Amino acid sequence: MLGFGGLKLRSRCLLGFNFFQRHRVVTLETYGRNSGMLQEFGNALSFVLLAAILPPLILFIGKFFRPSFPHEGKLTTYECGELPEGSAYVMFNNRFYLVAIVFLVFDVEVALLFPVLLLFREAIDIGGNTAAQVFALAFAFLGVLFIGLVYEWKTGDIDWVRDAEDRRKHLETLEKAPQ
Amino acid sequence: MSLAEFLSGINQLLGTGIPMALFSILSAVIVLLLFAMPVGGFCTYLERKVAADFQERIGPNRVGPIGLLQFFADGIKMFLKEDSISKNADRWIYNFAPSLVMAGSFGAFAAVPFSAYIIGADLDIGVFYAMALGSLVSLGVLLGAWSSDNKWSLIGGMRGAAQIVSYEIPLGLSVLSIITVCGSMSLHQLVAQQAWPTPGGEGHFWNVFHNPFLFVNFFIYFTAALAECNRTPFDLPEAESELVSGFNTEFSGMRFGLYALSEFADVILFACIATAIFLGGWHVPFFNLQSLDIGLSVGELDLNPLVQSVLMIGVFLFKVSVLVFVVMWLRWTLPRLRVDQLMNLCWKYLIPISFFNLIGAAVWTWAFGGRSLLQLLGQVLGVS
Repeated sequence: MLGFGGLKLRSRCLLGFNFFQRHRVVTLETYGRNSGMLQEFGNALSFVLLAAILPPLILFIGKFFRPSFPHEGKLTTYECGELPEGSAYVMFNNRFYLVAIVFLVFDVEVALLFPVLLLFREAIDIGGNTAAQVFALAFAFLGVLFIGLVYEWKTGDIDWVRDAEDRRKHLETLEKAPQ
Repeated sequence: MSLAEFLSGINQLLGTGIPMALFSILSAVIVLLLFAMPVGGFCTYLERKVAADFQERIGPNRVGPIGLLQFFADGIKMFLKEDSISKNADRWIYNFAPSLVMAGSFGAFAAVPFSAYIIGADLDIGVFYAMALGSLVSLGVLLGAWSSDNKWSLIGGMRGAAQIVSYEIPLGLSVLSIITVCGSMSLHQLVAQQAWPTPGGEGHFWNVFHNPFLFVNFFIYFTAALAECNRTPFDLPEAESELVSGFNTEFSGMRFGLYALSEFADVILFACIATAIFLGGWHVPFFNLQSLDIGLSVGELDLNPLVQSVLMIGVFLFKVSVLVFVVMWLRWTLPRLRVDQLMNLCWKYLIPISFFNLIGAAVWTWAFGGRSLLQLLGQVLGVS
């Protein structure tokens, strides 16, 4: 809850960095009491739960109205009217996997930057070199990831289609790389 | 102030002792069942009508006046359709997937600020919440596709997952630039900051006109949001000319209806968030609706918030519907991208540009103390 508290109350302790002098630890209880934010999260929860139970509810109510005539042909997998050819769980292009991995790195980065850059305006208002600290922190972090992106780009890991020439070069760079 | 508090305030005036938890459920019911679902359904009609106009056809015109009740008829039709589940499907995941998609797209409506007084849940991390729930949709799409044991579905689902996760990064970065400039994640506060600038006031007008970087980021956000909602030109997950129906091939009847509904809910949601964080929410130029005072009250009940709310919701929904119309317009304007073009656009254009814009927005905020272009202009001209 410290993270959420940090965002709302601008508590001075965020991600282990003490940006500012006043240190304040926000617990679940003080958080709820200070801002009524627990009530708001309760509201949000009721939205999510309502949205999640709607599909089963609608399908359940529909059960009493809709016909049900199961038939061997109807229950086979749809493959354009042909008999299905084996299972769909086949080997798949591992590009998708690579994209997911790269995404994970970038998404975690963006998620971590949210609280830091949230404090940027306040850091400017405080004056001194606080803004410079936040700026340097955030963009050094971003910069490292950006170098990663440039590397991915160079090695062709973010190219969806890689021709034979590219693949040969890629393998060569991999071989040259120190083990 | 959230809708639940608004309702309980009225309740206190009337003097009935209903517990608060009931109001939060009631607010969810109001926003989802009375707004999101009917509007999502109406969008399916609107899309057919807009498509018909673009192709010089008439479109649905039989059910109700000018076909307005078409979506209602469609809903009843799908409700009464046989529920046929392929025998190879992984039934647990198959049944669970639509719930996940619905929770993702409809649950995020909690954070949408319809007016200064009406918001499902006034979360301090509103934008983050909406983005986090939005990513549930990609899980739902992938799980639904995977569980149907259908090759079309699997290809569509894989494409969908790769596309949605890729475009979440430029989306996140453009939202991040807004947060850098405004210093808040609460959608309520973000909208409040976008008032028409007055001397000594807090407002800096719409974020999209705040500075050139945010202006570009608005278009990045819009492009990424299109891809997040699987809309043309990024509708590869359900490319009907190659993949039959893509990730929802095996979903029939009401299950398909739920997917279709949540797709439109997603479009509306992203339009709502774009309106709230870039286009000023319920703010109009030259005038702050919140300072409107008609001086009417019934007993203790001040009618101002209600009148303001009606106007604000009108302005907000007008902006949202313009964005939704643009989304439909694009469908009949742009051809579908290829998978490699899609990935190139994201990783080689949108992400570097939004990186650059994020740095630019931070530098602008630092240099001008968070003042917008309009405020600076006012200062130069000596207006404020």
